[in-house]
Amino acid sequence: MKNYYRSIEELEAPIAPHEVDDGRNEVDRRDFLKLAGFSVAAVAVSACQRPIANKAIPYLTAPDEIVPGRAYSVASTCHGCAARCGILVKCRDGRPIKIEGNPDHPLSRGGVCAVGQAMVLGLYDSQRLGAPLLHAKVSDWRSIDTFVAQKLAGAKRVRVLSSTIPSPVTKRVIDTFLARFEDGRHVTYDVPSCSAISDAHEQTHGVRAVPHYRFDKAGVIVSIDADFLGTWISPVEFTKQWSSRRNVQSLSWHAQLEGRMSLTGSNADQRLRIDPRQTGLILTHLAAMLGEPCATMTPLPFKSVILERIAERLLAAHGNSLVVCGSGRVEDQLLVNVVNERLGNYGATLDISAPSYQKQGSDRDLVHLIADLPATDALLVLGCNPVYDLANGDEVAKLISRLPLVVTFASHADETSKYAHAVCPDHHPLESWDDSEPVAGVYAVTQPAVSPLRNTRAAVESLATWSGGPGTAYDLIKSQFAGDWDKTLHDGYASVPIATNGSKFNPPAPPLPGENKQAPAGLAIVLYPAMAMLDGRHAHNAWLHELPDPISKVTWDNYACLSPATAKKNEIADGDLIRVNDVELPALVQPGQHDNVIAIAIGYGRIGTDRFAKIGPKWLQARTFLAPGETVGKRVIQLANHQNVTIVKTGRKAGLATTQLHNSMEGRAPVEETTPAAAVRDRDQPASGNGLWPVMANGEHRWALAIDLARCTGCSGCVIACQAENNVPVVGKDEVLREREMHWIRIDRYYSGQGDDVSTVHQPVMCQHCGNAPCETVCPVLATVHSSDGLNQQIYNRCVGTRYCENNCPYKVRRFNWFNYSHEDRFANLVLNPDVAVRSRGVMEKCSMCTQRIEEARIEAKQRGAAIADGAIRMACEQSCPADAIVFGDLNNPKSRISAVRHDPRHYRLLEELNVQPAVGYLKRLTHSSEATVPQREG
Amino acid sequence: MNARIVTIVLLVAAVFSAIALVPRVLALRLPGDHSGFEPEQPIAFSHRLHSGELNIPCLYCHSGAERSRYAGIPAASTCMNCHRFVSAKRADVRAEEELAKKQHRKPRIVVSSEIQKLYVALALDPKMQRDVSRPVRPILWTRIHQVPDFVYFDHRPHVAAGLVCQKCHGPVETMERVRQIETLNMGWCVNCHRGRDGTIVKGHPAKANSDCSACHF
Repeated sequence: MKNYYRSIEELEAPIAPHEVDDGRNEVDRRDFLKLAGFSVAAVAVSACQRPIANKAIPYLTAPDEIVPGRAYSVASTCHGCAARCGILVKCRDGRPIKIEGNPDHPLSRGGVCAVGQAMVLGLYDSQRLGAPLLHAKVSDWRSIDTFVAQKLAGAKRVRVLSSTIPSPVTKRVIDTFLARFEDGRHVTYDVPSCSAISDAHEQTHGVRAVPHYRFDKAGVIVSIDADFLGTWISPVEFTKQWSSRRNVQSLSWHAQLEGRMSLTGSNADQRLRIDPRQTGLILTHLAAMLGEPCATMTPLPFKSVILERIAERLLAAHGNSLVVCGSGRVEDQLLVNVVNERLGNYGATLDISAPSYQKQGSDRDLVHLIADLPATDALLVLGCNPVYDLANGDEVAKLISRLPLVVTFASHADETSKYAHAVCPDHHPLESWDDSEPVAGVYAVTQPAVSPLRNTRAAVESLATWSGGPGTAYDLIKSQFAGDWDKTLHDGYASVPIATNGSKFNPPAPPLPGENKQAPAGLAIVLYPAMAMLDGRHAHNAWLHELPDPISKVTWDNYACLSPATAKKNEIADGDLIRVNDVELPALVQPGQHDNVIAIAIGYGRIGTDRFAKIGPKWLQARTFLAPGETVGKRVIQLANHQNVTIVKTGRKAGLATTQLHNSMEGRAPVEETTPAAAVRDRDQPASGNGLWPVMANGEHRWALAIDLARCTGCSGCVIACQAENNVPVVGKDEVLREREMHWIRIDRYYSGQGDDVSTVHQPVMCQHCGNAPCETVCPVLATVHSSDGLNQQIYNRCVGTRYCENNCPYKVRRFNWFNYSHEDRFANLVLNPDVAVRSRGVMEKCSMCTQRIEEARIEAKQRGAAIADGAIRMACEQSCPADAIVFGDLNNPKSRISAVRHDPRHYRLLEELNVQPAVGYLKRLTHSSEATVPQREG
Repeated sequence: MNARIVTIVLLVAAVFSAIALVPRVLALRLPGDHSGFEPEQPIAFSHRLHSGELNIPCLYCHSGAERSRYAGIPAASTCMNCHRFVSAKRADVRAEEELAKKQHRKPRIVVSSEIQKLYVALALDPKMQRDVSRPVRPILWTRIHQVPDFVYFDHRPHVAAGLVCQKCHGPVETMERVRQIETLNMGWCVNCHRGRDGTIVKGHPAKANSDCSACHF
């Protein structure tokens, strides 16, 4: 059996931490009597209550499509990043409450990531700008328009700076706006940049674009520093594609060569740690092994046989493989194009004739824009934040502050809007009309699910107004659309003809532009976008701050990741505050990271995040982690400019709110792995039925859930899905440090092996809904009981908070409300799902298996007089899973998907030896390596 | 002397207190039991007239009971389906017509004071057109039947099972002003649910779920 560990401390001293009882929580007899007396009095007083005269206010004129109390969905497009996944916005009584995946969307096919689902919280953000600002003072739109028109009247050099805009209409409006000026230009950049990929394709194919990748068609995938399951270009779409090949029949082989430990690397079949400065060298070697003529080269920094094996696999899979690279150097990307062309992958697993428009940035244009800034008359900043985003942001800020006109469309007061003369807040995506063409041929609409909540205006409308032609975003989009408008609005997308760009491969002149030098000595810094924050655009979202990072499991912070060897050499332990050049950060020891690499997440340290100092309960022992004006995490992008990296221990400690060791199952057999060949041989041993518990009555249904660990990437989309669906509160950093996070799903991440051989397994764990539930037998008030359908119910209004159930739960999935973790912000309460009770202090809670969804389906079936169809009930976690790893259904229906999964030889249940008969099961992770065997169980 | 006065005062106070308190003590009930609640509503709408006398089916106005968790209070636009034409009691309209005949003039439109409130809410002018100079004013009804926030009662399965509305809401068709009849507490719900294990109600078997999660989630 593999030795799984969850952190370095656990590897070295496998003891899980427990809550510390410092004796301060004792209640003495007097206090107890006082409280008891007060409680009796309170009950007596409450017994005299009169009915609360709640008002019921019906519509004056009832809209046809809204039935009060009934949820409905609006098809739209996600604006969490530029990938533009298809979403269904679930609304209740005219108010968006949840974002779900649109199962018919051709790219995302029903998946939505954590970021996309958390967007709904941003709609009800009370700190979103509610009116335009003129010279940093609240103004109105008419004054803004007069001011801008006046300033633009004599302007010649006008620049629009934006992040990637996949919207054809917005781009057209920008072009019309700029056409008036003598020198008007639109410059796009992305953080992190994919400019090198576009530039390389311009050289080799004559098309400046990012190709559309097809991981589902690739049997062999080699990724060099491209985190395509995490944050690279279109992660949801890629996760759908990648996971469709994670089965016994067509298991793909995926190698990841990277410096840090990324989510993609943690799911790879083979992982190789490399120094990111040697990407070019490795690619040159790879090209040579595939038969490209190359000059003599510096030897590889690792055994070349490893790369030869990879090359062999690639050669064997001609036209069925894919090499991707996250490098920002054009030379590296040229090599990748050469390799993909040699392997016959163009047209098969990546498509440049129908490219992706999800990353359109150009670093060259950005450099020119900054060089031209002193002579620029007006700068309009759309959907980006250059002062924060760019490594040389401070210099850019100085240049911007001297311009005659700076306009931003930011929705929050941000780093750039500080220097803006006019801030014209754009609508939230759930309030606006927009269109997108994320990939050539796929047209998607964004339609509002609610009227604008504040006095904001769509950026396209602002630009159209300043161009002289008034036009609403709706008219602008509809007038340009040729197809069936109603159908497109209903579906959320449409197919449009693809203009062929006639690209042909045009090899770069030999010899190949390979790199031929050893990596310089010293540490290399790797700045990566955090899964939740991305480039920092989601810094105002509390759900995303509290979402544990899929790899490090840290919340509410960024940190410097060091490899175990480097940490040991510098005598640094987890949580030590270190100084990386001029930035102080907590250190985190990250297994599987290259020894020369120090990896830090960007997207933190945004101004305005000091608002989260107030989050969390107010009580005597509450600690705040943010001083007034202090930000959550640190801005680190400026480190990209530094040539030499030094790390210095400060000798101080910082509280890293990591959840990785919380809710430990005390080292009992957690995850299981198998190989495709072995998977066919294994058979699940049915557990014996004899035990202490009476045999369960078999009701009308028997609900069960299964998670395929071969598909699950650990992306954490399900955690946010569950949070949004079930009103799971945010508790704040202090409470997370006290192991009181409330997420109903946790994703356990286990490492095995060390050094180069670290492999990682992700395992989502929620309430296992045991048939013989240990929690039920110990509850003194019958607040947790079994339903006739095989679910373990938690009845909040009956719970008195003894926490016996939590102690007796072998899976540690119960969460206790230590406080009323209500939203501080009453405006944010509008996001609450009215179908789920908000739990109060002193109440235990846990995964309910979305019982509100089961009830809804049961009632609908009853009304129709039909049985509940398989797949009619989708759990919140299952619905938007980008990997389709979760299956829910009725075991009493032999034709259901879950019944089929239950008979899969890979199926197993957690801690089966306890004979608790969970309704939740797992499918063993599939791996190519031969060492994975079925672990021996005790007893 | 003083002691006697004090005693008398105290006795009188005790008697008065008893008189004041006894009804309250008798009226004490379990927490959450609001039966008998009969608040005044913004419009003196009579269920006795509409439901009892005119025989309008409950679901005509409370159509949500078939489509949603909430039966709902009808939108003012639903009232206007009839009250566009009916603006006062028939007797009042007749009286005006006869008066007009006597005085040899066209009869005026008679609007009762309660129905006038509906027109004010919708900001309608005497010709039943929207008067844009006035704001619309939604009607703030006082909710009578309600269960606590941790209970998710759904009308749909109950209507689908053929339950009559009066089973829970009492004889509304006889009430001038609606009053809560039943306690709506959990014991009362469960007493009914327990009996429904496939017994025939209105020609088809009704099955009621007795799991906690049928109502609590």
